[in-house]
Amino acid sequence: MTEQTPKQYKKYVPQPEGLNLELHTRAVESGLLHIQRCADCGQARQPPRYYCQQCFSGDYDFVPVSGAGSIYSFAINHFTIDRAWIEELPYITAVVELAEGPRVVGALRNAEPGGVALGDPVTVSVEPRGEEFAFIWVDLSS
Amino acid sequence: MNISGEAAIVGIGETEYFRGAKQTVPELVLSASMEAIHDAGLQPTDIDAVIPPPGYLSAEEIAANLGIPEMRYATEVRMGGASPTASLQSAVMALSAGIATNVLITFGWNGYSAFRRRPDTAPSRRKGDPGPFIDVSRNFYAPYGVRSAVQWYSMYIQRYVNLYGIGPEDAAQIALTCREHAHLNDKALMAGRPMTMDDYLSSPFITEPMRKLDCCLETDCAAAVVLTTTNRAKDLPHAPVLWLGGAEGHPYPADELTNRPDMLKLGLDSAAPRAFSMAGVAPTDMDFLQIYDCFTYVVLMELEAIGICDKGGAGEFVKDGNIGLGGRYPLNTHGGLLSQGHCWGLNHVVEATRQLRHNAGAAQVDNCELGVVTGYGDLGDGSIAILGRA
Repeated sequence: MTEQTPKQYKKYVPQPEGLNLELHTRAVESGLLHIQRCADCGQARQPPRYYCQQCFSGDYDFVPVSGAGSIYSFAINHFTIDRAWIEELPYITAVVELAEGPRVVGALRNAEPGGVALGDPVTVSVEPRGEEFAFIWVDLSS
Repeated sequence: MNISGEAAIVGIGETEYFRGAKQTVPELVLSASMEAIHDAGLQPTDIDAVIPPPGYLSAEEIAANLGIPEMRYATEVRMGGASPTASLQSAVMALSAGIATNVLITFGWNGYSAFRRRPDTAPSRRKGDPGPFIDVSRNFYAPYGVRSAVQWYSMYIQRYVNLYGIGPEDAAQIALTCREHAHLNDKALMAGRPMTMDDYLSSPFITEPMRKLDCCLETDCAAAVVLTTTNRAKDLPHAPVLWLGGAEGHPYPADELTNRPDMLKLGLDSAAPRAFSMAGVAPTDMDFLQIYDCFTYVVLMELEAIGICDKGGAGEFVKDGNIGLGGRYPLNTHGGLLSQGHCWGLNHVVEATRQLRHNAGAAQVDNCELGVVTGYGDLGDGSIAILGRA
């Protein structure tokens, strides 16, 4: 009788296109969190959009950001339909308001349920997964 | 131009609510549709416009299977659970503009059987609808193990409960009230299955703050309604239920919920004032509330959005005995998505129609004349209809 090893589920890595691919490529190449910025009025925005929501310009850059921010909201996941995440339960998904303005969604890794609150200062970083996607990590500042 | 009162709901139909239906989605949708057409005193040949459940069955397929030879107007409303109530507006627009004479709106799905394999289910071979925000959800939420509605919405509900001090006992009122009302409805999945506050509070978290009993029921079912012009409605068998006002609202941006200037502003916040203005009535004129209840906390936010209570005031509002039968504003008198079953909220429209026909059986709100139905879907899209007895 052969021992059955449990099936390993890999965490989903998206295959971005267009603006999202541009954003992730910059982050992967530099190892730094990037956001899109209007080349005309300077408005920072997330996720990337083709036209500026403020001045309607179609010109843009992707710029590195400090990673400093605060908890705007969060979700504490006690159940998941994503089998690659079952071993992480309970896991916390953070919505971070960056110092530069836009908000990003990432995985909060150094807090337990009950140990995070709105407004808590955090640091956001990226971890390249493949050549086209940079995973976002969030850490509570100590 | 005000289209208030120009059209009416004249036919309703709904299947049983199943957990593991033997029928396919087309069978469910077509049988509810035929029931609604006959309830209106019409035949399929009288229908000339169809609004179908997007991704599950097309207007063309519905027309072909029911025998609708001249379809003059077919459109799909892609707002998730806000679609059926928003479709009422689309139907009234087509009727009042003379584009169509009798409109069929139908929604149905295998919401129990499609998503997770269970021993007693047969998932459809038709692929699901990727939806209007797939680009954002795939690239910005799914990589973090956030793939379902309860997880998306928790990203703003956590902020809502923290800012306004909303507690589980507040949300519980919605779950308990819907369950009480389900006991009055033979078609409710949870009829005869009591729920206590202890049951609620010991229910496990799914995505905190939402527990299992904050979540609606995965259901296989279909429902349908038929609308016609108010003039034509007078000759049909049932008391017409007038569409007095309605609106849809899309938060901005609708395809991404975390970068809205105010993450707690739903589509319904912008839609509701437009609908009440069109109808010329106030939220406090309503005799009942059929509020889209995918999740209890979403109901609390919707009660605030329609203006029946202040921002952050829904917790107190629902604890004051307002929302049960016999209260000032009976809520989800059929049991809602939480305890009847999840038919995209078209079951709320069907129930509102029964109420205003004064044909709601044990759940009847005495002498009701006006009621509101809301829809909620995708990442916070909202819809509303104000209905009245002619």
